[in-house]
Amino acid sequence: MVMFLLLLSLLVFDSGTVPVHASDLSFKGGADMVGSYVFDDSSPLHGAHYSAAPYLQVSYSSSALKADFRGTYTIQGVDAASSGDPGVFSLDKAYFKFRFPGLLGKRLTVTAGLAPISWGLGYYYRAGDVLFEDPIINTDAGTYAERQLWLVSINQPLGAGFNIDFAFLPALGETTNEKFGILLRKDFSATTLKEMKAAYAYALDGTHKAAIVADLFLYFDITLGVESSFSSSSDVRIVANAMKQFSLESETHSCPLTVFASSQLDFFAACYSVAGGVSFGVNDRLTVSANGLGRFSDSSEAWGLGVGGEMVLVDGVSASFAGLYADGFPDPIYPDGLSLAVGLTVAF
Amino acid sequence: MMKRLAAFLLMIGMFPMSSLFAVAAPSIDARYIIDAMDAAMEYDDAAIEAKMVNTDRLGSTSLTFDTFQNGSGDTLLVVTAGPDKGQKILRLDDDIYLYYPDADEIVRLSGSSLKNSFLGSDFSYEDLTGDDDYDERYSYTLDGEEMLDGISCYKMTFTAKKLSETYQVQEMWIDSERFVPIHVRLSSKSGRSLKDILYSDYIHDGGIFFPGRLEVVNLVKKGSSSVMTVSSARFNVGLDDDLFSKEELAW
Repeated sequence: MVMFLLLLSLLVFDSGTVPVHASDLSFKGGADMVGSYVFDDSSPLHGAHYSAAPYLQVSYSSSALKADFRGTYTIQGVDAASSGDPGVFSLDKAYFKFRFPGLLGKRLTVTAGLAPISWGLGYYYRAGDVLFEDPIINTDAGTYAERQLWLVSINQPLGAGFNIDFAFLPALGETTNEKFGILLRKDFSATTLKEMKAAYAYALDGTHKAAIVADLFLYFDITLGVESSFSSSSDVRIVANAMKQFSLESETHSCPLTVFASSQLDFFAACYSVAGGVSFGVNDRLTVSANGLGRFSDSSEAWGLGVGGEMVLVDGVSASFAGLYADGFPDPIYPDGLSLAVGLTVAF
Repeated sequence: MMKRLAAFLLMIGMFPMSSLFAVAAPSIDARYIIDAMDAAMEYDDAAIEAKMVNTDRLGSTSLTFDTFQNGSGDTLLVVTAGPDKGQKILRLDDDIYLYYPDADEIVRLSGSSLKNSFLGSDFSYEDLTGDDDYDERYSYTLDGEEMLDGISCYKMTFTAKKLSETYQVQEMWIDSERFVPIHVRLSSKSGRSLKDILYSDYIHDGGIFFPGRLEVVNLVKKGSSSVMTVSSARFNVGLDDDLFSKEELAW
């Protein structure tokens, strides 16, 4: 009963003069279907692969309460003739967000459940996501990785561009030990420096991780980050990204062109990685891209070159293709040799 | 401070007219028309709901969105239906921020990316959210009076001052009775017509005129057009400044 009254009070709370957020209950669904083929005979991944992943999302949004639930049923297999693995259901999102009157006349936001969270920065390699066990990479550069954690978090704007976040992560899902985190960020109105973040996380097994990241504009959009778990004097990871979006103008056409370069220096693992690429909007529906990736250490090196494209066929339906030639990466990240993939995405 | 909604693409042809006042007017008549049009379409802040349908040779896509703008020109746009539902766009000063709800990620856009297409339409992010430097970009002349679809119009021509402008020449037909734009033709320096923008179904609320329907026809890409229909327009409603923040963007 108390919970019901609390939810009711949240639903009717609205401090704005204009009902900016009308209550909205929505259903969203779709499916991602991918077929691929790995040509290298010696690879354990040699052969055809397929997967289909229908999903359904239910969302509620108002000025004081948000809720998102999404589940995906994934079927995948090797070779079209085989029966493949039975499908697996995964819960992608299950969270509530509440807004309360907070300090300094600002709104305090509380998030609880399995929720996406982004404390870091980076177009390809990222730094600052200290709540995650492993570093996050936006492998589809620019699309921004979707990863969720079970958590309870609080966000409080402090005015003058300052924000503070607290988070508690129970030992659920990919979090193996209970964890606490704090994030302080500051937005700047300067021409060059746009944002800085300082993040820290402590896990009950005694490990901790800290990071400082900055968002800059110096002709390129640049993010710089330093991250460490303090396990040794060499435990430092430095990440840098530079990205620029151009608009190619002619008398008759205007096409977007994006270029990026990204690097990660992991002194602890003595491993250095670079990535770069270009994507080009041929028209409003078709975008093509080419990317390169290299990873170097004292004992090995790996590299890959890929091309891809995506085309919006009709409202809610898009097709994609990708080709990759890689050498030296441990399977199954990028199989050696040539691999090709085609995909179809349907959303409603 | 009075400010017109930059967030409505119609800005391509008619927005920061107040800023054009800073340009030496070549004719008192032209100045009078611009002044009258500015007065007819000014407001302190605005909340607009609209639907946009984009059509090309392969078919049509559609989305609906809400836009909010305060007196400082800060603009928040929220996609409320369509494949990109939930995406939000915030303009603060010269930066545009996009919110991706599935990743809980805010991404900043800057520079030339502002000229890129807005969600597959014939409009750019820059068109959508205005340009504070527009006042120094064009000079203008009054060419005369013409009848357009039965409406008596003043015809004016805007000429870019910089070669970097995408639209070097803009011809505008302005209703001589209501002082609102009816038709804008955007052309390249060579005189090639690039886009037609057609304004109609004007909403008249509290002395403010606002186009209820806006159609953009791409004259280069055959069969390509975007149509926006306003379903609700509210002006001078006293929007909360916190609405134009990254925290609100991420809600």
